[in-house]
Amino acid sequence: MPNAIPIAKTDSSRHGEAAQLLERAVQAGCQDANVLYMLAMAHKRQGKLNEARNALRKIQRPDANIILQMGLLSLQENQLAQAEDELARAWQLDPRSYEICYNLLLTRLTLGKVEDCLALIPNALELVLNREPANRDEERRFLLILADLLQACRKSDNGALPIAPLLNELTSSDEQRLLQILRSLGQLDTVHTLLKVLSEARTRSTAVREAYLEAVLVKAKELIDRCAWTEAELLLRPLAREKSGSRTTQLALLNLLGCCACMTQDFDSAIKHFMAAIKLAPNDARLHQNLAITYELKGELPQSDPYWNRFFDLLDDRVPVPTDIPRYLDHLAYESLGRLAARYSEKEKWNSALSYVQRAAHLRPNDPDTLERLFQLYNQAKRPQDARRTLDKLRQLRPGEPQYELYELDLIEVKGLNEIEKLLLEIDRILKRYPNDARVEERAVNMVGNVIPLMGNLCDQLTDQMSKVIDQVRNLPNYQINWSAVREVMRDLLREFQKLRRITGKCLPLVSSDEHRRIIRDLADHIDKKMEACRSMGA
Amino acid sequence: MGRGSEPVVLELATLPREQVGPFLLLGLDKTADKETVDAHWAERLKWARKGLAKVPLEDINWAREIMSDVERRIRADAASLNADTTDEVLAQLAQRYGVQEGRTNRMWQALDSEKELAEYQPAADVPDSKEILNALKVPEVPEDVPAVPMLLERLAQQPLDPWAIDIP
Repeated sequence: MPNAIPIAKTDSSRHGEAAQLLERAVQAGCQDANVLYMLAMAHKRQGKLNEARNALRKIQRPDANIILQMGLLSLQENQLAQAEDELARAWQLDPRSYEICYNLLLTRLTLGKVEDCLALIPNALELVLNREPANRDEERRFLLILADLLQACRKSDNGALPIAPLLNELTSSDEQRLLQILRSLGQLDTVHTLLKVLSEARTRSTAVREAYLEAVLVKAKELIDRCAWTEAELLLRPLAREKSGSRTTQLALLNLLGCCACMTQDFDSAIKHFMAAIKLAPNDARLHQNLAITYELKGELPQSDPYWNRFFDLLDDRVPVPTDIPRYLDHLAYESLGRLAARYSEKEKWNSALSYVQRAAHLRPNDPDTLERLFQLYNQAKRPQDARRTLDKLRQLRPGEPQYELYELDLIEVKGLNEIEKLLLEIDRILKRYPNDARVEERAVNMVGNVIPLMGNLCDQLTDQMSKVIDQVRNLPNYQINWSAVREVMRDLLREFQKLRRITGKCLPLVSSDEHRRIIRDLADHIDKKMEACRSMGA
Repeated sequence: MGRGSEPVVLELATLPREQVGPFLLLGLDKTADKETVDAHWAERLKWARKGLAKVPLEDINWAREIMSDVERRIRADAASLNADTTDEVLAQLAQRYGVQEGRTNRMWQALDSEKELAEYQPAADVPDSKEILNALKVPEVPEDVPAVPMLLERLAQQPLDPWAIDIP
């Protein structure tokens, strides 16, 4: 039985009980400084920093240790300026405490206050002698190395060459400890400055150089997060020339440089950086995507194709995805393919667009929207058999869908007036069959809109023919004109114009926009005039 | 004009927001969850109001809108650059340098020295436990049990049905 199994109480529950008991004592009027201190410690150990601070504030005459505790709470809250202030007050009250001195030193170091740190180090060196012998020498050496680094930093600020004797003779464990502390400061500006000076002083150390590269990358990422592309690029650019970092840092550097260049529209540089990054990591899907996007932004869509294809090949478990969206990579591949198809369609590159939609349809074989796009592209690419096959599949997926009857009309190849007339008759029939279907109506209007320019072209062709005949009649002497042939031609033209006029009459009720109506009326007027001209020429 | 030897930095025109994408505008990795998106958006709103960010407020809100809709987010992912590599090198480095959720945190271990108060006795009168125990008087328990007559009476009132008794 689970209830019978004894469960040991955790430390936090012990601290919770202690805090409750002490809180009751305080509420009952106890103002004992030690009780309040113990209450604060019980809260602190449970991570209740505000409650701990409130308990410490109730102590009427706080000593150095109480203010040290306040400083430690501020450090936990990452309130560095407040922590420095509190630790400085504690240091004034108890200048014999190594803990206060050390914490104040590192807080000031984190804040980048080089001079204040240098002023404090002699005190720390004196106090470290009272520490336990086991760590004493190691602590002392660390403080001396830190002092050397800060002095080099001061000289570097003044424009002088950083000469730091101790820094030149660091052991690997010294170096490791110093790097560990510098990496843990949490203020990127300070870390960057100190590592820069250290790397200048220790030019042969790969560990220091690597740490400096890392700090620059993290700082650049911080700038990029603020969309400060130019500043980030200026920070990174000097590092691009040297190839001293590890493969991973080189990779991150080249990628960030590529991103910055791309964002500032320097696409050629971006391509160069991304290419170099891909050479280092040929199987990185994200790098291939970056390069493909850059080519797109540069307006060189065909050049992006191989990188998009590689990106799709590399989309597998290695690519990190958000955990709260299921099947993310499938969706990403599908949307990317659809997007590329749209880009190529905009440029009327139907075959390229078709290849991407075919792949999207392969991912979602029963998705009607994808199949509809596929149908349209087969039509545009003049592949009626494939279009018909796709339409058949669509009809299976959505039987009775009225729009597909209009899709059928898309398969009619319009060459002359007869096809136009047939198309308009069919559109009219479908509209009457589905009188209240907005989608059918919208598509029908679009189809009629596409027919109007064709009618205009045919009218122009007939007008040209007529003008030629009239020109010849005007320029030739009367005895050279074969009037019977002229009348024959005019009769043929009249018949064609009449047919076109009849089609405009059928087209007018099918359009909905005022612009289309105006164009058709103008066309009808024009045809009427031409018919009159044909008749005047003996038709 | 630049001052003295300082180089003049020319700000190049950046891309429109649709081409920058919501991930870079909000400083997000492509794996960011909803909570992270909201946190980055809120922080950037503060920056924009204080004039600390280069991105206009309108674009920050636009980016969050895109990120809140799964379909639009995936579409944006397809067209957005990746600031980090597939191995997430930058994210690991940032973590090593104390950057979490766009904020940098101190990681060095501070030295703590709490007062030794385990033996502390507060200045208060504590009563003697033996005296308190002796002062307690336990009341005598009555020999008869008052509930028994009532239970017997209730049992006698119930009608007895001989056919309802199960005989084994």
